[in-house]
Amino acid sequence: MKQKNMGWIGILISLLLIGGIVSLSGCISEEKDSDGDGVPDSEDKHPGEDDALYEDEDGDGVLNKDDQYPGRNDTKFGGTFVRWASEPSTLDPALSTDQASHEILTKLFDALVQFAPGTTEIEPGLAESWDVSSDGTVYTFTLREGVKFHNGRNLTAQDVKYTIDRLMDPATASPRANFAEDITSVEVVDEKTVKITTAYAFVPFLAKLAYTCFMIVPKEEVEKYGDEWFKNPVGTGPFKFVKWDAGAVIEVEAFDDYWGGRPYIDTYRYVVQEDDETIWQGIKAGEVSLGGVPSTHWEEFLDDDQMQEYSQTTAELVTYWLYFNCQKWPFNNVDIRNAICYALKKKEVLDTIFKGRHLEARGPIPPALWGFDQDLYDDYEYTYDPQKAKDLLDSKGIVDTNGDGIREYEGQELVLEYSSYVSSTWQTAAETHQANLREIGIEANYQQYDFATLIGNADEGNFTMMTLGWGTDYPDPENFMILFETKNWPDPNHARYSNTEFDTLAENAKKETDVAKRLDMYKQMTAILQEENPHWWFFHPRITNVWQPWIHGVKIGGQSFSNEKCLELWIDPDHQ
Amino acid sequence: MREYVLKKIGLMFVVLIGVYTIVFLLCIAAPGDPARLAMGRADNPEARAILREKWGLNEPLYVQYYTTLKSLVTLDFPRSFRYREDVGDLVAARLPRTIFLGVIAIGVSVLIAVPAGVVSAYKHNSIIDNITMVASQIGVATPNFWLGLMLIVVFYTKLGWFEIGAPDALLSLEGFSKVTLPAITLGTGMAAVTARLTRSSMLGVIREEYIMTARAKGLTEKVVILKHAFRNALLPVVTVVGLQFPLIVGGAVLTEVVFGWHGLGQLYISSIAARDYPVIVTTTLLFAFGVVLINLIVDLLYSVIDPRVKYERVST
Amino acid sequence: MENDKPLRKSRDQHELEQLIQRRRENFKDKVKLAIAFASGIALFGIVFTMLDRTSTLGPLDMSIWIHRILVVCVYIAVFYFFLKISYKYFDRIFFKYKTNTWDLMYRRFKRNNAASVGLLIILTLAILAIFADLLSPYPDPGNNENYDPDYTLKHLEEAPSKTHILGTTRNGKDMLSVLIHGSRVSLALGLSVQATASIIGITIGSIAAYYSGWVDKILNVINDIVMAFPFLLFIIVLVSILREVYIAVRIPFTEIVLIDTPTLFSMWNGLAMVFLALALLGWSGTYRVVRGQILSVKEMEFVEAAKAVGASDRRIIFHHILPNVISPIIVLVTLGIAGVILTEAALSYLGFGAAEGAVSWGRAIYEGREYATTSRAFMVFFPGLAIVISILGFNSFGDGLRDALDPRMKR
Repeated sequence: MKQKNMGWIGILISLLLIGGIVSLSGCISEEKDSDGDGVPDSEDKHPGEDDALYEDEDGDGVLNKDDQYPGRNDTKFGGTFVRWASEPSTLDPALSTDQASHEILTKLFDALVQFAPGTTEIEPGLAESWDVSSDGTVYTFTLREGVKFHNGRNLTAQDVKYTIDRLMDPATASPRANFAEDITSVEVVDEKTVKITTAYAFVPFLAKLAYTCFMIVPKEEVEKYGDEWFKNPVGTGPFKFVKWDAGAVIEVEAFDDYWGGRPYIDTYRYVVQEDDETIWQGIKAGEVSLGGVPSTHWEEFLDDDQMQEYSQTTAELVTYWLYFNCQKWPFNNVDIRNAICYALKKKEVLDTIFKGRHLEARGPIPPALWGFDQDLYDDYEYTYDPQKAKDLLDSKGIVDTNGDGIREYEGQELVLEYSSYVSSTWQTAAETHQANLREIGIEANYQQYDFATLIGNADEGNFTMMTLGWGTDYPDPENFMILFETKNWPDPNHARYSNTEFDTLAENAKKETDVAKRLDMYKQMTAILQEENPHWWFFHPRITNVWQPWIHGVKIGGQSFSNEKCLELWIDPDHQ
Repeated sequence: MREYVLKKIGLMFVVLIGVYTIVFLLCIAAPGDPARLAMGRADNPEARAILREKWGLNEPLYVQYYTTLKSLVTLDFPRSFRYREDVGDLVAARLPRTIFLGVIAIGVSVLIAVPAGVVSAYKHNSIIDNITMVASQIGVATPNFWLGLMLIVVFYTKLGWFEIGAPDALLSLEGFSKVTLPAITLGTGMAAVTARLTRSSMLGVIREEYIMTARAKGLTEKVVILKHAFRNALLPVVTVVGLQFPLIVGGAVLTEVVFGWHGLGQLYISSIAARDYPVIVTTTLLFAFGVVLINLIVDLLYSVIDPRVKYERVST
Repeated sequence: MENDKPLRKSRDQHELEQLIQRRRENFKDKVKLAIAFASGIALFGIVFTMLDRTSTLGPLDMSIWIHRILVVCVYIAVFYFFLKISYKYFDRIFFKYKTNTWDLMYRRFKRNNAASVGLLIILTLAILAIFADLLSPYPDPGNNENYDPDYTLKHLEEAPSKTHILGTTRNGKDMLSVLIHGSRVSLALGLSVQATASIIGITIGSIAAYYSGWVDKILNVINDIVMAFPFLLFIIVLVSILREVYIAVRIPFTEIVLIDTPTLFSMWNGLAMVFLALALLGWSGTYRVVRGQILSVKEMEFVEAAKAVGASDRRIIFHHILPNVISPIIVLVTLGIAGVILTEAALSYLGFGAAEGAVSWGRAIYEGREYATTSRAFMVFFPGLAIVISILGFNSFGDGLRDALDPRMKR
């Protein structure tokens, strides 16, 4: 009986004890958190407020409550970034084609997708995510929340539709309207969703969408300014427009409400300066923040260790070549083209005249771009060998019949015109090539034209051999191959090359979603071009940019500095 | 006299219309389509056609001639192709800079050249005279673009004493710092010529009888030189300085390009390359107008100041 | 000088002896002058062969700067003395027995040292231009067939060295050869432009001055238009247009080509355009001078006298007026050549002058201009120096002429 009582009481006391202990400890641990910030009142240094506000999440020394720019290091803010370069032609994204305009437009506007800084990888831009239908023709984009235009308005799907419709509208007179040729419809599904349908599955479609002509513009501003819109841009980009003094200077300043975080520099100042020499003097004097090293000062650059430390050499997605007019005598004959490829010196010219800076080209696609094939490059047949050139011509019966040292083809003497734009380096190269051609019995006359006339001649087919280059608008080999498609006569297919097998491959490669198969197609196309040589492949340029020691965060990709948004660029506080 | 002035002004207009016609013909004849150039590397024939329409390039020639002429005469300037801005505004933004550069250049050169010329004339055939003459010879002979480059390298890149580029405000510290090197480049040629001219003019005057009289009268040498000889020698100098003004404008083009001084000359060169016809035509006429105006003023000045010139007989 | 008066016998003899002695002296002077000339030319030859690429002359080594400067100084000194001696004998031969205005002018010119130096420079240029092929160490850089591309590629933009005294250009050509052959262009262009412009100016000026009234007014207006016209625009457009104009007239069975500018343009490598522009726009100065002179002379008595006698207008212009007008025009032409050289350089610098392949000083500066601020500045410096020296020469000579011809100078 006593045991039973003890048992009960024992349990009761234990329960009470336990209860008491629990409740006591509960009192201790379950302290009051009156301000709801997760920190108990006893530890709460800032009662009544969220303690998180008093932390420094982005590590910039500014407490979160004062930090206007969360996620951005406030100590880096400030300063003016100065560039000296040629004048942009327009600040209307739909109208621009030149690099100078692109540089400013990438700062003022955004597209649905963009390239990760310093790379050619696609990353989300104004579109947070997207779906591609299985047949590759329907792209559904989900737009980001909280994107603001410079005028304060939020971005909606209607803006995307308006931008693309405007691009396709003939009244806009956009030189890039053909980029939207394959788009059949743009549909606004809801405020944040847009559906773009294309006529066929174009594999590099997303890369193309990152181009400036697809950067989103607000309808009300375009209509407000009308004819003057091209010099009063309003976009969603990290910088907003301040002024454009015609022919003098363009200034844009940091946009506080940028969705990707306010850029570090306060002002991006773009001063118009056409003379390369003066630009270099500005760099050396410390006034220009970043610029390219011209060939004439290359040795100077190599000797300067400090400059080398703050520099970067990028292999650009560009190729320079000699166009042959494949529709005119004598370059309608592929053997003559190939013979000339054998005859012209490439490596020696690049090493001496171009100071060894550039990469030798043996096909249209540069090594830095996907689609390049090392084996095809190594096995290229038509490298410098004047004897083979002579043998080839001899074997085809293209010989010198009247003893004047010049071969004849179809009854006419092989006297050709070699044209280029105005440049001292090209002139020296041309003189060397003239001698090379003379050695195999072809006479070449060299003419320089200013760029406008040269382009005019290219369009009209008024040339025999012409030097020019081509850079990608979007990083995909398709953008090189369009230069050889028959349907692209005369521009950009200035050479007027035509090959049905090539055309078929090109069409299929645009739509082939299997990466391995697509790569193989481009290999085949490159092989055809290497056999038929509609151009003489010259070089892929490498550009070296230098910047001042107090500039940090520079990232440059294969599409050159003008394609960068410069969000991570910052300037030393003592140079601000 | 008034008849003379009115006749001269009338002739001025005839000359300007002549210049306009020639410029117009040159623009029409020049190869290169401004619409195609605006397209850049890409080409879009429809877009090009629309631009040509907008810029009035498809109208028959005499219509274009007349419309542009009318707009110039009424001072309702046409719009630039590239900037879609009223050419008048463009010019108004840049003309002050070019004039500022020109005035400073002339000022600098006169300040150096005139005293040098006077002193050399006074100490004729001495060391100073010879040095001045040789220096002025070299000054005339040096190509001014090369001089500009050398000045940039020494005084901007290496020493950092001056800056280059276009200032935001002209009459400021920044403005003067940026204008010095271009002004020196531009003014060197002029200084050389002015120095020699001052010297020869002074030499001619010093030997005149009235100077001998002044000395005989017992005036101090300083007064003789400065008050009598100098003032009389100044007329041809002033004439030549005035006539050099148009050359300054021409030379300013090169200088502006080299120094990045965003003035009228630089706009002119870039407009020619881009075939921006409204700007080309307007700026050309502006230059021509300046030249003709200066000539008119010089002619009038000459005939007013020097009564020995019988202008009715030897001019129109 | 023949004396027609009958002489008395004793004085006759005396005069005859004096005449013979004068002629003998005259002959001796002529011989001395010829010797002076010959030695001058010989010295030229010696100095310029020394500029050969493999040159040394005894202890003198052409790749050492001091030696080069020494050679140039010796050359200048020798040539200068040669000039002075020539003057002396020239004087005695031609002017000893005649005294007229030309003599006075000549004496005044002689006294101007700077003008003599100018003359020296001009003559040197002329010799370089005429004998360019003989005097330049390497063959004509304008003709690419003379140069082996392997060699040029290896020797681009080299600094001055033993094999290339003034270095090489961007195309691997020897700079000294470029300068020597370039003097041809400078002189030829200068002379032809000035000649053409002067002819135009003289013709139009004479017409305007002589037939006053409407003709005069219209021509004045045209002159003003030409003066006010922006020269730069003109040449730029001229260069662009005229590259591609081909006008032909079709007559049955033949085709007469009126203008074939691609050929014209490639003549002189684009300098034809520079010539055209400069000549067409450069006659204003001559026009004004001629017209002024004629107007002032027209009223003078001797013209009235000629008219009274019944001389035709053309005879009056050519025989009476022009000789008075020639002097200032010669001065203008000389100074104008300097101006042409400078303008050609400026145009080439902007890229609108000589085209690729042309060998001219302006073109050399253009090609080297990107290196002006680097250690390769010599590519700009040497052509620039050539330009400076020749302009100095022409200016000094022109100034000397002007001072000599100026009737107001009482010295």
